Amino acid sequence: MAVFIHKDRFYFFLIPMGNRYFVLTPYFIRKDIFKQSRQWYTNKIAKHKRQRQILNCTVYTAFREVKGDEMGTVFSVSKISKQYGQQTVLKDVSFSLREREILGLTGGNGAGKTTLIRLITGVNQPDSGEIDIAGKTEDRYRKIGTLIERPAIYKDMSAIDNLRYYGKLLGLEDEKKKAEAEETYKALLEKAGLSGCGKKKAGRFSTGMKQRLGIAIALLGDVTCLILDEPFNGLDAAGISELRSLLLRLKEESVSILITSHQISELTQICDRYVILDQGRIVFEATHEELREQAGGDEKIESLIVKKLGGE
Amino acid sequence: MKRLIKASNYKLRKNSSIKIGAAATICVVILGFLLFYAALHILTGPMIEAAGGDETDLNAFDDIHLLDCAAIALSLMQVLAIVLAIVITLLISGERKNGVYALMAAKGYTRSQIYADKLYEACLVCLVLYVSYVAAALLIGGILWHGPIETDMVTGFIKIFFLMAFMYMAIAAIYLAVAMNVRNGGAAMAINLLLVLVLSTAVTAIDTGLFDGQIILRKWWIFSAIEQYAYLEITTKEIIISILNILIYGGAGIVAGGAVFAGTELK
Repeated sequence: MAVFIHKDRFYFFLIPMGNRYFVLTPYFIRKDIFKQSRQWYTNKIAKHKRQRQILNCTVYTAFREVKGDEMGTVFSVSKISKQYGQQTVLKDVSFSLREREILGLTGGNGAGKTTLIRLITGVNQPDSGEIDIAGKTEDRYRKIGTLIERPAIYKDMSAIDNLRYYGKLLGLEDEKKKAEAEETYKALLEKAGLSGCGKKKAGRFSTGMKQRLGIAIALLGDVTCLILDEPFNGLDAAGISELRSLLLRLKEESVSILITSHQISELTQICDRYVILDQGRIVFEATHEELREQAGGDEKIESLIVKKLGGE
Repeated sequence: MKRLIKASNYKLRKNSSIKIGAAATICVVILGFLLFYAALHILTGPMIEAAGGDETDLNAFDDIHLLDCAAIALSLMQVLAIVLAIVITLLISGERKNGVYALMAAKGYTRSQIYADKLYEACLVCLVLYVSYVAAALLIGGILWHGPIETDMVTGFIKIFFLMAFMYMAIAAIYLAVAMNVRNGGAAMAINLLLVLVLSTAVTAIDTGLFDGQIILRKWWIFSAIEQYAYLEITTKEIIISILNILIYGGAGIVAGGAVFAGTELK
């Protein structure tokens, strides 16, 4: 039996019994808090499973049964296709993003990654197929934060002014008091590692800082899912490292992330699952563990993905 | 739309292009007046006669009147059209390049809402620059002018002030249509600056042809305002034609620009 202290300062007991886990939680925990924390439990269990080499298990909680390997779906894409003129950019693409996972979407140039991101975020519409976002439709825009290709920041405005602008755009200041909204902006800057640069003009930021400000903007609202298109582009080694840490921190905070990148070495360091696109079709989909098994070790995952992409 | 307007107001308050544009506009007015004032004090009757002019009895500033001040201020108004083209194109094309529209679409705003918001911003920018220009012209003109100000002058000024304000907003709608729909920011800037020159010439030519030159340059305020303010009186016919101009140019800009934007996929 294992005892864990949750970040919200309540504890729970994890009891492995055969191939099942029982999660015992105190009665007084509010159901909504518990539901929000479900992902946290699942991860703890996953870690515990890895340590004990248990493969399949079912988790019982005080409130509902949660299968150990089943995570909730943030959104699912079902058979979407898109054409520009005579050119088919996407053809029958289906996949889903699960709660609290980092999903890497990769593929060669012109594979359709950015088009797919634009369709999922609602910037453009697919010709056919469905995109199902969990929860209410009207919540979609508040739950999903996006950074498409480059951060949509105003260079002549300070970092906090950029957040204030987008906060107004999203109606954040209509719902919260001004002081509360200001606290949110400061917290986001801190989360993005920009707390000391709030008043600095965004135009003076390094590329890495701009990307992180873009992510802070994307996190405005009640975001539980981040969609990032090529966030590593143009970053130096330090910038990549900072961004990687930020994404892992966000994952720890129960944010699900879909990330596209050409930089497979970066994806392999943070992703739980991969989807590989080629000429508008999904050619491969696997978890990190599955890839590791296939490749024969973490260090060989990158070369395996490159092979799947048709490289050497 | 309320959220969009609130956000736009905040952003424009922080925008440096507008501040620089307004400062440049005010500087041009001040400079123009100072040059005019200096020239009048340097010129003498014999100098003008030697240059082939008729005004041999010019007596420095005593001979000029308020209308001349207004005329010189407004002869510089082409600058306002150019500054407006630059500021609007910078503002709008910059946002397109940065992916602001894509982000707005991802947050649930429709193309029409985005276009309407940008139209609001363009009109606001236009008003800020126009009011800066007029305020500077009035201030400097007031300092230099020592004669009486008659009621006709004031009412004429008010009419023209509002008509010109709306006319510039109509122009802003055309600049916006170009900036929203031309993907390359540099190309959008070039087109908008060419519009200032080409259309002012074309409109004047059409005007001359249609109206036999009778009211040439006085009613077609679009793009080139040179000589417009040489007169502070304005007839009812001119007011009606001006309003028609505003509706036609502004309406065409909004409808065409909005339709193209709504029908194009955001990149």
